[in-house]
Amino acid sequence: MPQKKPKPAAQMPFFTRVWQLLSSPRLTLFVILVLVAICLVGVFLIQVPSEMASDPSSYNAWVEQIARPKFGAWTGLFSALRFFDIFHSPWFLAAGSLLMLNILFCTVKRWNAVIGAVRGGGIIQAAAFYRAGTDRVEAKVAAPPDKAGGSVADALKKRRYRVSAVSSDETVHIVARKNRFSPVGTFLTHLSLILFVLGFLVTAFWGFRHAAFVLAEGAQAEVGHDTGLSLKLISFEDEYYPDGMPKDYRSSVVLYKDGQEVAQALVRVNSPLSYHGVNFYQAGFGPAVTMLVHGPQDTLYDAALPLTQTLTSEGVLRYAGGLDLPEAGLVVRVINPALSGTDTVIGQGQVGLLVYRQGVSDPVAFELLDPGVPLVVEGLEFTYGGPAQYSVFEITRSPGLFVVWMACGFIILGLGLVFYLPYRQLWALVEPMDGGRSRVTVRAAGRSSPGLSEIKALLQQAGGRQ
Amino acid sequence: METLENVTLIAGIVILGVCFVFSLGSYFAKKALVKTESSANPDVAEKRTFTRVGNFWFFLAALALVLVTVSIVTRIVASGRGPFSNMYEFSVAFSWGIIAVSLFFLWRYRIAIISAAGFAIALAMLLFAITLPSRVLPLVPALQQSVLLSVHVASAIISYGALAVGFSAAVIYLLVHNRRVSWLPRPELLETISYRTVIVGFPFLTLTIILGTVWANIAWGRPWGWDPKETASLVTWLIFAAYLHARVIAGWRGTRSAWLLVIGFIAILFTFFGNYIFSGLHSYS
Repeated sequence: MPQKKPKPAAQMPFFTRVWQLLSSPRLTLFVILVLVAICLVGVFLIQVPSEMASDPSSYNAWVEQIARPKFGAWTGLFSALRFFDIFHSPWFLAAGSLLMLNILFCTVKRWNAVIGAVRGGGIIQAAAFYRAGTDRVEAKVAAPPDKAGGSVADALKKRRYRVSAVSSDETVHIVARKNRFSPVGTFLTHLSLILFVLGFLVTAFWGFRHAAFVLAEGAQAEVGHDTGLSLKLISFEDEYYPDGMPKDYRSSVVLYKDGQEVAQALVRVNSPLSYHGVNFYQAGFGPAVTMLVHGPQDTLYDAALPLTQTLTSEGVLRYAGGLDLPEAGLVVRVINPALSGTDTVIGQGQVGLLVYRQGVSDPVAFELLDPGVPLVVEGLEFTYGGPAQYSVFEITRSPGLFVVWMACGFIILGLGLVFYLPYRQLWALVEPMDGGRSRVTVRAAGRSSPGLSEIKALLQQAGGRQ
Repeated sequence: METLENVTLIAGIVILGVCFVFSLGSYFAKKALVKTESSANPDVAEKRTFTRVGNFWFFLAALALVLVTVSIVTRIVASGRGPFSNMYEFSVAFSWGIIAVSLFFLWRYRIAIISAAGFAIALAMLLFAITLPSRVLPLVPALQQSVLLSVHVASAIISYGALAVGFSAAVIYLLVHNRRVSWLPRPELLETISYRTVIVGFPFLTLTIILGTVWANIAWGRPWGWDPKETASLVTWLIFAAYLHARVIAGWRGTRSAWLLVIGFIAILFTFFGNYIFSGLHSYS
């Protein structure tokens, strides 16, 4: 068949050019290599935590505190190029979208070929078809066509080919196919990439992630996000090996739905609590202090206060937690040394109390509290009950996750089909020759044809000579 | 138990070393053989040399594999879990994967030089492993998921082993592709073999990443979080995906795709040793 000369690109209609570009494997290669470059940026440059990325002020604070000491003068350029949040940057978005488009266009382009493979080609092919194959086998067999064709068909069947044969004018036409669903595997692997993206989009739009849900022991808080759930931390324990390596973190929790207890669980690192699609993961822990605050009439605070902030002054590390007392117009910071016994200001077993008036930046009082000893400050009675702990949970709802798992299944199934059950299609033409012999011509589909080597050996066995 | 573990490992290293030296020797022997039979087809000569010296050689390599296996199993028995929780354990397991896949390709294709290169990489990996602290350490909470720990890392080992052999074939391909070296296998054969290693390595690499996402979803609350090791493994995956696509583009099959295999293996080493380079949730060593 004479090859059509490809038109120069300038003469082609615009849409054809776009079509050719978007469906070309060269674009695939290009986009993959761009994605590699983007990922390498993400590996080598420290990435901003996702909860900080969305808020410009905390992003800038992160850049100044974490990134600038590392990258110095480059920081401004990297930040402008969105390198510190590369996986949410326009670069990544553009490359990812281009890959999705490329996959869609390639799928459309290959559609007919794949469907054709599943349906199978015609049995009777013209002689030119056999001549056109780049890889083919010819042999002369000392048997008439019907017999020779029969043995070829039998041998192919033995090799688990599905064989169809037609005779006309003493000539036998054979088509044999194996693993005809294999090309569907290509679709599955590429579909799965689209599904991964869809799954993450579904989660991004309809799910939620609460990265740090802090609960002190004994505290209960609403999960929010229209779940109607609230979580109570009964107790938290951290356990260590003799060499100081962490062994276990476990939070004993109770889950309530609209005020009704629905679950009790021990949440550990590898065993989250799941309730109707909402998952609670053990994500961290820290120190807390139990505090009791009495006003003139009633109790203003009676719970464990998580000390989630760290303060360093004069080389001493301390933990601090803020306590809002709007009824008294006060804000209180409770401070605890990180290592007891090393602090020269706050004694062993004590906590420090910094009391502020609302809206005033300088404290009105600094007091030390001993456990169980009440102290009156600014008309309120403060009692430090003793040390406790807080636990941090990551709470997620990921409605797109099942799409992601489906994609995982598809990609493995697809790769298995493509690589381990490769598609094979062979055509054989058995023509009569004089003296009761026949000529067998075999051609494979496509450029490469591993199936052909099998048939070559076979024809040699059948007594033919090439 | 610890003595058995160490003795078998050292014995494995020594035998693998002997095996490698021996394979080099057999290659010089073969070079002479091919030169004397000038008409000999290199592939035929390859197979003939293999049958002359190969059985002994194959036996040695298999013995090295058995010894390393015994060392690993001893450790599993002693620690009660898969040997996959620090760099020492990863490195020995990685070497095991390379030796196993090299042996498989040796048995399947009888191309000694590719497997010899594989053994050299495995040897280097084992020598690296014995410099590392090998004490059995308890597992930090995130690693306490024995099924996923074992399957995730086992899959990585098969994949890395296969792709290391593919790397060997690609390197030899790049050395011989534009000149005829009579005692080395044909470039086309090397190309085919490196493709076959990707057929094994790529699906297992995919499986490794997927098992990683399943585990990350249980332990860390999300299937994917752009942790440096996660991202590095994605880079590796993308490079081999690029290789698979490059092979169908005219002009890319051959030298350029062989380069992609070399780059892919560098990415594997980078991912593997990444614990030393970047911090992140995978820093266990």
